[in-house]
Amino acid sequence: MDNQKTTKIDEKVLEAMMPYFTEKYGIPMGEFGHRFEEEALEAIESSREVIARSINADPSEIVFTFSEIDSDNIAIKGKAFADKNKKKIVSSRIEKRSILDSLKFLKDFGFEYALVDVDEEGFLNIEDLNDKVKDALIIATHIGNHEIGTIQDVRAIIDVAKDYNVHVHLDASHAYLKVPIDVEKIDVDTMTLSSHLIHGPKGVSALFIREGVELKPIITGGPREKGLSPGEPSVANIAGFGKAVEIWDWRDVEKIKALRDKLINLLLSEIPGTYLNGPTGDKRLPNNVNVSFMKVEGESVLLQADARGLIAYTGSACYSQELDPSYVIIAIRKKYEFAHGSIRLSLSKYNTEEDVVDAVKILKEVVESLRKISPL
Amino acid sequence: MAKYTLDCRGEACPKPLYRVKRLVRIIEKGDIVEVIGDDEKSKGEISLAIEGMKYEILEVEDLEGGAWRIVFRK
Repeated sequence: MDNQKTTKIDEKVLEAMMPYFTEKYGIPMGEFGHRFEEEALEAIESSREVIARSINADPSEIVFTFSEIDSDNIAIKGKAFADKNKKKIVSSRIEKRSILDSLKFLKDFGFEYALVDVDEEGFLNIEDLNDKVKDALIIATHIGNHEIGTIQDVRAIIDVAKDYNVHVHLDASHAYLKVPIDVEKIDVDTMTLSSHLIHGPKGVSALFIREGVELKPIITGGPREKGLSPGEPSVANIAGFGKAVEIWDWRDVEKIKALRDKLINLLLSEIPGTYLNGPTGDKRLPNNVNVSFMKVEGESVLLQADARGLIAYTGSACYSQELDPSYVIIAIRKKYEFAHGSIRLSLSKYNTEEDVVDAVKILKEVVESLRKISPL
Repeated sequence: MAKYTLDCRGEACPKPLYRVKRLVRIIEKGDIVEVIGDDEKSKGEISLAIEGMKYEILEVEDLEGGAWRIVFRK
């Protein structure tokens, strides 16, 4: 249950990718090319169209990159370097590292940034945003939070941004095809979309760039993908991404949502000293569960759960290779003990009710055993 | 049947448990593993993980100077 780290590739997706490894292994060079190049171009453009349609965009507004991290970097740094007048970027305390590290990087180039506070469920404080955004160039934030599943009030964020003519970049990696996104209804300027979190392949991502938005390339090397991601495209990955979108079934999302609620209810009722991090219901990503177990460390829970066949994730210090425990949990809870004992369980269409019951059984056994030997 | 020794002395939790978990993934069923360490927390967590993986604990021994030794069969 670590499907917000990555998902299992759908067999139909794999099938769609295979010819581009063996028979159709060309890469496009432009409008006119030999047969292999034409086949590659067709595959890429077909995926671009499917992905564009999924968010009500025009295909010309979709650029393929090699990862969500690339997409966030290309959008944020690209916008920052394209504008000569403003030097401030606003974000929040609970963003992914691809956003936060982009801000730190830009600081060395004369930019400043401000981080907006969040409430105890992880929603951006719109008043604080309003205070900080006035002289900003970019707001860089997310739709669905990677750790605690909070679905932001995107409309409120964009309303504030547009009042001050600020570029809005949204990382929609975790929300894409989990919640409906229509770029005609939300006035976002750039947006990151994920393939590998929707049963597509890794090694590819898409960046929505609204028509008219200019980004300065941060990787140079040719005209491919509007010159923003000019590396030789992985045609197989792009074809697989398109297939994953094409076969997406929103009924699976409803099924996952029901599993999520069952998992949350069982964890809270079966294991004393368990607290839910993030909101409930439609304000939470359908596949996200994040809980803190008091008096145990998330990492210990994870290792013991893994030994019993349950895979999960923790933002706990050692596991995430950070010096501090989850900055997301600390931002909402303000207490380290919640961060130390937090784990994330994330579901996919391949999970069943039986998986949910088994997961709770394993976690109950693990948490109770660890508490007996815990010095905390 | 092979026998492996992991000397984890001087290593703090969770490293010893990670090392045990990595080793048991590549050894054969029936192989014996001896783990030596001096981190008290790891002693408890390694024993718990061995039980969780349904392996057989053969010996748990306290050594001099706060060190310990756990022997188990995969």
